[in-house]
Amino acid sequence: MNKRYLEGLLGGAVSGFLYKSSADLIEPSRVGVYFDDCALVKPKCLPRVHQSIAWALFTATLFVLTSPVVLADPYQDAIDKAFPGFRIMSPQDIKLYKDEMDNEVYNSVKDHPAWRRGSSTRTRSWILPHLSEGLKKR
Amino acid sequence: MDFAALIRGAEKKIDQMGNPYYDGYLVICYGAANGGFDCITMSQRPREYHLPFGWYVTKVSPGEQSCIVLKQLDTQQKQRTLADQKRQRNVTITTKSDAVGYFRTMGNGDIVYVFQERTLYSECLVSD
Repeated sequence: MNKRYLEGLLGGAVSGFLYKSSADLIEPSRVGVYFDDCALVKPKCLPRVHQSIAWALFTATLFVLTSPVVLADPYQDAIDKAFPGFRIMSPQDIKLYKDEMDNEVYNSVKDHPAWRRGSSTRTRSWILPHLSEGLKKR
Repeated sequence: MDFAALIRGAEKKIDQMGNPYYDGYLVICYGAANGGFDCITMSQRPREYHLPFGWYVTKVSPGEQSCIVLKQLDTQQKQRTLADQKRQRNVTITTKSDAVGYFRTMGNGDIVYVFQERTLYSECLVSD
């Protein structure tokens, strides 16, 4: 799996965990309990630990799902290897004119107009095996 | 999993008219069995990509395409030869698999690239 993808996943998990933990710490009603009674080894603290872990997983998942940069990273990595110094153009690099485009097309390309993945098949996505057979004069 | 992308360099250059641009390519990367990619550029030399760029890439599903002009494109050919001049006009092609759409964000000039070999494509101008 892509290194930066994992870093993003880990980052999301850690930030989610820290966020939840800090929220626990600053909540007045819990501060005393947290420090006085709660240690990770005590069973009564486990629900809170589970809550933090669940929160971390949720945040990590959300982070991954909503980050086009992370999603596109394996592809940018391929570009980095094949064409050092080049990068996939960002949506800001390309000006789309919504009024000029079919709604469906616009919605399908607006988030990544410079990058498009082919269908997931065993054969190459862009294949046309017998073009000449398909050629015919009008 | 294959993908097509528009890529550009980081260095801003200035064209003869004094306008800034970046070196850019339309590239196609073929997914390899080991998880990597085998990437090619659709032109031997970089093109001048001015920003905001007026093209985007999309997937063109299998089916009929009406080509105003159809020609073969050797993506790694340094110089154009007479073979490049062989063009067919007003033909319909039937694509058997997904093709690469290299479309204008405004106006005409949409191109569909249809795979033939690794670095050989058919270039179908679908609007002008």
